[in-house]
Amino acid sequence: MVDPLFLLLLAGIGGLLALDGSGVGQVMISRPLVAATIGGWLAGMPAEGAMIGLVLEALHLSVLPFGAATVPESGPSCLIGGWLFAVYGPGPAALLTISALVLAWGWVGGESVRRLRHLNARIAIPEGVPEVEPASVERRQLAAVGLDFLRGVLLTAFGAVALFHLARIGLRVWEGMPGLAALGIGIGVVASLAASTRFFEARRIRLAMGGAAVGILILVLA
Amino acid sequence: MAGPPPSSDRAGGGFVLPLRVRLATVLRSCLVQASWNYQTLLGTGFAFVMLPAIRYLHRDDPATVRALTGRHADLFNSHPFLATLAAGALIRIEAEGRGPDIARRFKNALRGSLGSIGDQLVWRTWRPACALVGIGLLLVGAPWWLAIAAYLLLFNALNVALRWWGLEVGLSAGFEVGSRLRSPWLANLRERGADAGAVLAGLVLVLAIGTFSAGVGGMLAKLVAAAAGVALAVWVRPVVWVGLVLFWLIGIALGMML
Repeated sequence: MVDPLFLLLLAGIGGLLALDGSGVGQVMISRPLVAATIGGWLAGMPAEGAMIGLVLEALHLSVLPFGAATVPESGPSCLIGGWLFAVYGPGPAALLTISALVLAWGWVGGESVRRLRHLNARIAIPEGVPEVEPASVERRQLAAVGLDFLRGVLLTAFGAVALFHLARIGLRVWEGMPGLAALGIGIGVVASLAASTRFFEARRIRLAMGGAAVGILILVLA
Repeated sequence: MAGPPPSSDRAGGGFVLPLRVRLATVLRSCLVQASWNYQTLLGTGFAFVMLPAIRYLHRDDPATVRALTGRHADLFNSHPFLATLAAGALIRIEAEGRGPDIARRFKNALRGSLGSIGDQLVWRTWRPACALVGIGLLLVGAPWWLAIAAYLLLFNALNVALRWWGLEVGLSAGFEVGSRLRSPWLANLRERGADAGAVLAGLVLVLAIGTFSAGVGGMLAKLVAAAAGVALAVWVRPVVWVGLVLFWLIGIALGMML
């Protein structure tokens, strides 16, 4: 059972992270590495939050919010992920289970953003209005911020309860297969990081190889 | 339409607004996407950003304030960090009294470039590079707070710099802002950021293989995991995201049956 007061706190922070995702600031506290660390920190284990945050950040590297594209939302889902990993982790079974659930909840979040943008069309000033009171623009803008915050709060609250129970069910099975869980999550992370070289274009492959050589040196020396 | 009041300051061909108005414009730009919608895109948010300057320049003329607010709430789009550049240029264009058609055409012309320059620089280059710094620090054993601090400080240095630079350039260049967008420092920043990102990507990839293969038994399994990961990278979003969720679900189904 999730403590209602804790759930309220988590949902409030989830609302703030949802705002950061697109509507307010975009200072990247909604990115998986940060959001999951906050989730772990709320449960008293920030390092565990950062651990799953690392995995989720790697998996989200390929998410590029170009134009009007609907993309998975990382803030609320990764906040929940960081908290759940502090509760159920450590270990590869928890890492795989919670990562899979967070990815799925991220799609739900992305869909809720798309719907909110349709709703925003009713709040925004319509095209071609010759004169508009400035106060009306400010009211509408702040109403949109409030609505986005509310969306984030609800998404986090429902997600926290649902994922808390789903993670318990999944873990019961996956705890018996830690090697397979590690293989699955390892392939996912490596694939996501390997894909990040695409962001820096093929002509930089020699630079990437240089970085890889330094990485091998660190692993050998460690 | 009234021009700028006599108290607005013009120096050396540039157009200067008081610090409090510029600060308000930059701060409001942090909310520019709040009412983003599929009909007018940034429209209302852009008018929200323009308001402090519109109010300052036409403080004795409420009808002009209402007309300009309406005009700038029309369809517009931009990368959020570069919205101040369009705002600055349009504040100056409106103050010079060039007329609504010129302002509208200017906004249409600027829209595409601001989106693509911002997307390439911020989302495609700078953010992944900053994320790789954070991931890399964690993988070499740095404390969690250092990784988070490095990620946020690096990313937001560009966030704040672009918003402030955009407003200043927009105000000083006005209609000529297009040529300033082609300034070499933006292109250099993207190129050097991409160079650093490529080195970090290679480094972090190897460190991740070393870290995550520790939980996989046997050298063959480690090699298979690493090779499969690199091979899957081409289709990363559909394969890895859907694949990971399906892998987890199939595992549960098999675990329950056996």
